[in-house]
Amino acid sequence: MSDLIANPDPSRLLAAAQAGDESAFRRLVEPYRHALEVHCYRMLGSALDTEDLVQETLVRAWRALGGFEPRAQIQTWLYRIATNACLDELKRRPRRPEPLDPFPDLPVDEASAPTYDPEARYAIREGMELALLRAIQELPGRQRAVLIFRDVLGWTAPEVAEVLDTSVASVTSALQRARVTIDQHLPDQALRPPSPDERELLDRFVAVFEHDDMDGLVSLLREDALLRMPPQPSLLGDLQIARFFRDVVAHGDLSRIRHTATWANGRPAVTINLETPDGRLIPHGISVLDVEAGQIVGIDAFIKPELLTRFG
Amino acid sequence: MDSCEHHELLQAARCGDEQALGRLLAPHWCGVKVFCGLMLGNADAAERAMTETARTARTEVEVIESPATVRMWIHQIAVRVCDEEIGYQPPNGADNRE
Repeated sequence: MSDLIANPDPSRLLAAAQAGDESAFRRLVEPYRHALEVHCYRMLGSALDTEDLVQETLVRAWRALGGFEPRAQIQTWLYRIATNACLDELKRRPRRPEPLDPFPDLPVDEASAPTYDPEARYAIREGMELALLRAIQELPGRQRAVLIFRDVLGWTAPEVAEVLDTSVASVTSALQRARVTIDQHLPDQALRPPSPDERELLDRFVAVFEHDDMDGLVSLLREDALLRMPPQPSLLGDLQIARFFRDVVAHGDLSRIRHTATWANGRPAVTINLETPDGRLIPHGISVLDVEAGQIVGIDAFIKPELLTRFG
Repeated sequence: MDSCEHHELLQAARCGDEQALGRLLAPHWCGVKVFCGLMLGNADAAERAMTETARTARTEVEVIESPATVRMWIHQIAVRVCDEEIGYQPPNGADNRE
């Protein structure tokens, strides 16, 4: 056993785990944990559910371990289990009432978008960035609440002092300390400028729509790309996404979707205008792209015309 | 919704009209959701906290002084609920005001 700890050979860990050793199983899957978190986050579009789904994945994997072929790739196997767990969760979700309304049964005609303050350092978006959520959990006591009110919700310091029943001076000093911690935890890429690769990909993305180029569009998307467009269900797969754009959004002609390259929340993005049959352009929303190794692996579509005034 | 309507809603909410309370809270509920989610870091806990915040709002509705204070009031409740959930005890009054 001490040998196992000093020298964690995956095949021996696997054999021990298959024989019922739970701690061997935990050590076997630990190296894949982060990748699984990112995978679940991408599938769900919500950092809040991610940890639960990783747990669910590992529980399922533990149960199914007996049938695992030692020659197979453990990462591929875990990904498949995670994908199924996330798809089950997405199927289940429409039935789970989103706690968006204080009293879900009542009509909420006044429900408004979150207020956005340009002073806030981190804009709110559906599926809060996993890294930010994580980093915030590291903050102690009042620093956490102060940072959320000031930098995410965009409240002023006196407002935050009032809501937390404290002084403006305490808010200011807690915020300074919190920002230092957050900056240490956030990956550098959270607030980085576009790389030349991403610029180029963005330009090609705009161009394939302009030329109604379906094959071109499919080639820009990774096979398992995910289009998230809350509150509608997400779409999985390059072909499915491309067909959705052409057949549903553009009514058969991709060039009716007019994109303009931009940059949002540290990621490449496009603003979307739709061309009507009589040639007018109607503001539609924004798509934010997730790029990995030169391909689009995810698109977050925000169908809110009012966003365009902010990014225009 | 003009301010006159807000006052009527508040009046109704204080008399126990849940629909009126829901409409008063609606513009702020997204902020409450973000706050609870980021404070607690997981979906189940955030959902519980929001349910508890809504429940507390119902029982304490009579303390709202004017429509202008609804936002502050509902977030103060959410702060209390989340503090309890993470086991944080705010320092008392004077000590707290450095």
